[in-house]
Amino acid sequence: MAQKPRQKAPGMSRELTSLYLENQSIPVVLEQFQAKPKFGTKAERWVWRAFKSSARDDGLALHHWAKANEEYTDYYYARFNAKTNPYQYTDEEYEKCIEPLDKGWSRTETDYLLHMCRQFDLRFIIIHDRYYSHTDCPNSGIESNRTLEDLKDRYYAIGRALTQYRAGEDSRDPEDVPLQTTNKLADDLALLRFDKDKELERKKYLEALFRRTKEEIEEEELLTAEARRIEANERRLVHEREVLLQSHAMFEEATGSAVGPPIKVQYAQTVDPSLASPATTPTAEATPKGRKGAAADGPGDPASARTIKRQKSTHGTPAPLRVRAGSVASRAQGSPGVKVRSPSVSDMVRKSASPSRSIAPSIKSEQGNLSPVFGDPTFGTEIHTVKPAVVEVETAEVGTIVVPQRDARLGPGVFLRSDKLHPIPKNKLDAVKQFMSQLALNSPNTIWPRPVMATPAVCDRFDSLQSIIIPLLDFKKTADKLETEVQVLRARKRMLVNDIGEDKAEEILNRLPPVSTSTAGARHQRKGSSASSRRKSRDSIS
Amino acid sequence: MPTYGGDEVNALVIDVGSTWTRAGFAGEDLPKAYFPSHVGYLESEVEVSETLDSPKENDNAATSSAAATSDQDVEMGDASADDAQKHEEATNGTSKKSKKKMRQFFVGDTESAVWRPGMEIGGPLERGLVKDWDIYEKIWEHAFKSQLRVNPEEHPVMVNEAAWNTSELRTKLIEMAFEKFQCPAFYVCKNPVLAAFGTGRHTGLVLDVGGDMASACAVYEGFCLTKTIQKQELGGELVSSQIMEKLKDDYQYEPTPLFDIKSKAPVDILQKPDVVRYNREGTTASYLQEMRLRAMLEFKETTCEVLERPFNADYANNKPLKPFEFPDGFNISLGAMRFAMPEILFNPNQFMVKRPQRLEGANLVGIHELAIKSAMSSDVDLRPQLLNSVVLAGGSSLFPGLVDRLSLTLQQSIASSRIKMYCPNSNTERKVTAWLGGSVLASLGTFHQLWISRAEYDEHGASIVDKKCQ
Repeated sequence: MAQKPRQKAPGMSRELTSLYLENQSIPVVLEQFQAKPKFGTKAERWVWRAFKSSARDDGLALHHWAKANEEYTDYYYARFNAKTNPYQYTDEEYEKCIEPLDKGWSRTETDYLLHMCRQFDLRFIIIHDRYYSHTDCPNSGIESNRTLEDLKDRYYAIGRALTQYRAGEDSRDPEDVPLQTTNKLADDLALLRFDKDKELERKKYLEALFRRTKEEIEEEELLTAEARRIEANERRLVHEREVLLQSHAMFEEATGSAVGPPIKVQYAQTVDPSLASPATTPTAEATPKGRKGAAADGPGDPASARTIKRQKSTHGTPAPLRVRAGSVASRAQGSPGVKVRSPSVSDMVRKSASPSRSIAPSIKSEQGNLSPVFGDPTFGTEIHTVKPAVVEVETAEVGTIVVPQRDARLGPGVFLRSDKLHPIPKNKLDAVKQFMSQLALNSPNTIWPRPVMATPAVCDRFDSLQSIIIPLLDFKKTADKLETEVQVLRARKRMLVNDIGEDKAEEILNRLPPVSTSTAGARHQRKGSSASSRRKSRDSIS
Repeated sequence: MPTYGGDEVNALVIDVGSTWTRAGFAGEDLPKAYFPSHVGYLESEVEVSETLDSPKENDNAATSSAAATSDQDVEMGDASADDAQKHEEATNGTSKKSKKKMRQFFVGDTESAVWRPGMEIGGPLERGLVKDWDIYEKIWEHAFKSQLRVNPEEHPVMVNEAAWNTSELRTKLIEMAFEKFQCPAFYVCKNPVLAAFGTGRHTGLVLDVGGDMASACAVYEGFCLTKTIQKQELGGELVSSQIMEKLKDDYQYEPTPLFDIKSKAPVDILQKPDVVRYNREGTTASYLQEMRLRAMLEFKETTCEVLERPFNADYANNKPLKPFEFPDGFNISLGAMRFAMPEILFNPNQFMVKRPQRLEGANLVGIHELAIKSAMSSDVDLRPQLLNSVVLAGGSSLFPGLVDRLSLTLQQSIASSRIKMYCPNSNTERKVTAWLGGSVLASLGTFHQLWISRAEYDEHGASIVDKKCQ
C-alpha cells in the first residue's frame, strides 16, 4: 500500500504510535521456507592433518581432523603429560647420607626402587605389585620379599635424609639461617614422615576389622545400639530427676508459709468463688481493689464457705458441687465439646500440680488488678531470706564449700553473674517481662530480665522471684481455662434449667446418684485441696 | 577439539576372545565386526625343501604378508602355507627337508560354519593365551580386510590381551603387528583394565566370565595388579558341554546339528527326534562338536537362568517352565534344569555332570570365590575400594539373574564392606565391555603419547612392548 509514512510523534515509540493511530495495517510475517538453513557464520574447513606431540620423543605423526585455519604450536593434550619427580641423588650424596641409613638396601636396589617410583608415578601399590616381575628388575642385589611398607619406608627415609643433607649443606651458622628456612625444612621433613611399625599395626587392625564375620558385625552393631540406648536413658533419667527436683524446690519456695517474694498473689487459699457460689459472676470477681474488696470477695461468701465446711467434715468433697458437675457431665453426654474438655481440664490440673503436694492453686485476679493477699498479713512487708539451690564442692584445702548452684555451672572464660541466672523459657519470656515491669523492676537488658546490680544476694532474690513468677503464670493460665469452662457449664446449666423449669430441675438433681466420672474426680481433687488450703487460711485469720 | 578429552586418530581396536572376536574403530560405541573366533581349516601336506637363514626371514615374512594382503581365505593357499611353515620353523628350529602341513583357513560366521569334507575347527587361544598364531593372524586379517575393509598400515592398532599374558607372546604380538600388518603404531592393553575403562572406572575388581576362562583381577588406577589374578577354566563353553552331558544322561539324547539334518518331522515332547540325516562323509569331530555347541549356545541363551539366591531344587521347580525345541525336533520343557546348569559357575564341584578330561583333578571354585580370593590378595587399604566397584564382564555373565546372585553371594561372604556391582545395562554392551574400554582409551587425546610407534619398535626391538605397555 502506498501510504506515506506517518509522522512519528516525538517522544513516542513506533509501536505506541501505531496503536493509537487508526487505519494501520497489521504487519503479517510469513514464515519463509528455507530448504537450506542459513547459519550466521561461514562453514569452517576441517582437514585431516598430521600432528606431533611434544610428549613423545619419537616424532610419531598421527592424524586427526583439525580446523584448517587453526595452527597449533604443540599438541593440545601434551600439556597433560605431567610427571612426578622422585628423589635423585649423586654418588656423593648416596655415600654420605643414604648408605648409612639401612644396611639392608644395596645401591642397585635403591636405584631400582627410585626407577620404579618414576615409572609408576609413586603409586606404591603398583610398584609393590610389579617389584619382582618388572622387566627392569636387576637379577642380583635385590632382597626378596619386600613388603609395601618396606618400599615406602625406604623411599621416605631417602627423602628425609636428602632433604636434611641438602639443607645442612649450606654451611651457615644455625643462628644465621633465617627462621623461614628452618621452618620450611621442618615442614618438608614432616611431610616425609613415615612410621613403618605404626603402619603395619594399622594394617593389622584393619585386616582384623575386615575379616569380621557377619555375626560379629551384627553383634557389634547390637552392642553399640544398646550402649547408645543406655546412655540416652541415663541422660533422660538425670534430666527428668532434675526437672522434678527443680519443680519441687519451686513449690517448696512458693508455697512455704514464710518463704515467698512479695508478689501479691493469692494461691488457692480460698475456694474459687466462681465454683463455690453460683451467684458470683467472674466480672464481679475482677472488680474489687484493695484489701477491703478482697475481704468481701475471697472466702467472704459465708454461705458457700459453710457449705464446703460441712461437706468436708463428712467426706471431704463438696457434694452439691459434685452433683452439679455430674449432672452437667451426664447431661452433656451427647455433646462432645464438654466431654472432651472435662478430662483435659483435669489433666491440666494434674500436670501443673506438684507431685508432692496436691495443691492446685488458682490465681484469682487479672494481671491488671492484683487482689491483695488474704492469708499472711505480714507477707508483703517481710524481707525474707532466700535459700537458693546449692551445690557442695569438695576442695582439698578447705574441705567442702557451698556454692550457689548457678555458679557451679561454669563455662569457659569470663562471665557475668547475671548470665548465670536461671533462664526463662522462651514462650514465657514476654509474660514474665510484663509481670516484672508491673512490679516496677526495670531491667537494663531488654531481652532477658536482669537485675541492675547483680550482687549475689540480688541474684538470689531475682532467681527466686523468677522461680515464683513462672509457675504463677502457669497456674494463672490453668485457672483462666478452668474459669472459662465453668462459665460455659454454668451457662449450659442455666439454659437447661430454663428449659425444664426450676422445680423439675431440682427434682432431677436430687434424684441423681453421686457421679464418679473423671471430671468429677478432678473436681474432687481440686475441691479437696482448696478446702484444705482454705482451712489453713482460716487458721491464719483466727 | 579439547571439549571431551577425546581426539580421534582413526585407531582400530581388536579384541580376540576365546569364542568371539570384536573389531572396530576407536571412539565408536560398538564394534563394527563381531564374529566367532573359531575358524575352519583344511590341512594338506606339502613338500618343503630348505629352511632360510634367520636374518633373511624377516624380509621374506614381510613380503609374504604383503602378498597375503591381496585377498583372503580362499585363495591364500600359498602365502598362508608359507607363513605357517616359517612359523613352525621359528619355534621348532628343526628339520631341513620334510613334509610340512599347510592349512587353508575359513574365517567368519558364514565361512567357518559351512560344511566341508575334512574341515577342522580351531580357536586361536588356549587358557586365554595365544596358542595358534596362524589362526590369530587370520582373524586379524579377516577383521581388518573383510569386515572393516581398512588398510592396517594406515591405522594405529589397539589390541587386548589376557592379564596373565607372557612376555614371549607379547613380543610375538608386536612383531606380528609391525612386521605382518605394518601398523604405524600399536598398543596392547590388558583385558581387565579395558573392561574397567569400559564401565567408566580406573579402579575396581574385574570379574571376567568368558567362553573359555573365568578370571578375576584387581585394577588400580589403570594398572592390573598381577598378584591378584585368579583364573580357572570355567566358562560358558564348559556350561554348554555340561548341558550336552546332562541331556545324554537324563534323556539319552544327543543333538543333531543343523548341517546334518536333511528333513525332520514334529514329535511329541521328550520323544526321540524323527530326523533324516545326511550322514556326510568326512565330518571331523571338531566340526561336529562346534556345531553341537552352537545348538547348545542357543539352548543356553534362550532358557538358562541363575537363581537370585543359592540353588534350591524346590524353589527352582516352582519357577515357570520353559519349552525348547532343538534343531532336530527334539523338544523339552525345562524346569529346575535350566537353573541347575548355570549353577556350575557358582558351584562347579556339585553341579558339574561329568568332568572333562582336562579338568580332572583341577580345583575348581565358583566365580564369586575367584572374586573374593582376588580381593583378599590385594592390599587391605585397597579392598573396600575394589569391592565398591566390582566390574562384571564377559559373555557368560549374561545369564539373567547372575548379577543379583553374584552381588548377594559376595555380600554374604564379605560382610565388612559394601559390595557394588558395575556392568553396562545393555547386554550388547556387556558382550563387548573390554572392546569398549579399548575404544574409549584409544580415542583419548592424552593416550596418544603412549602408542608404540614404528620408530620406537625399530629402535628398541620387540622388547619395547614390556616397557611401554605395563
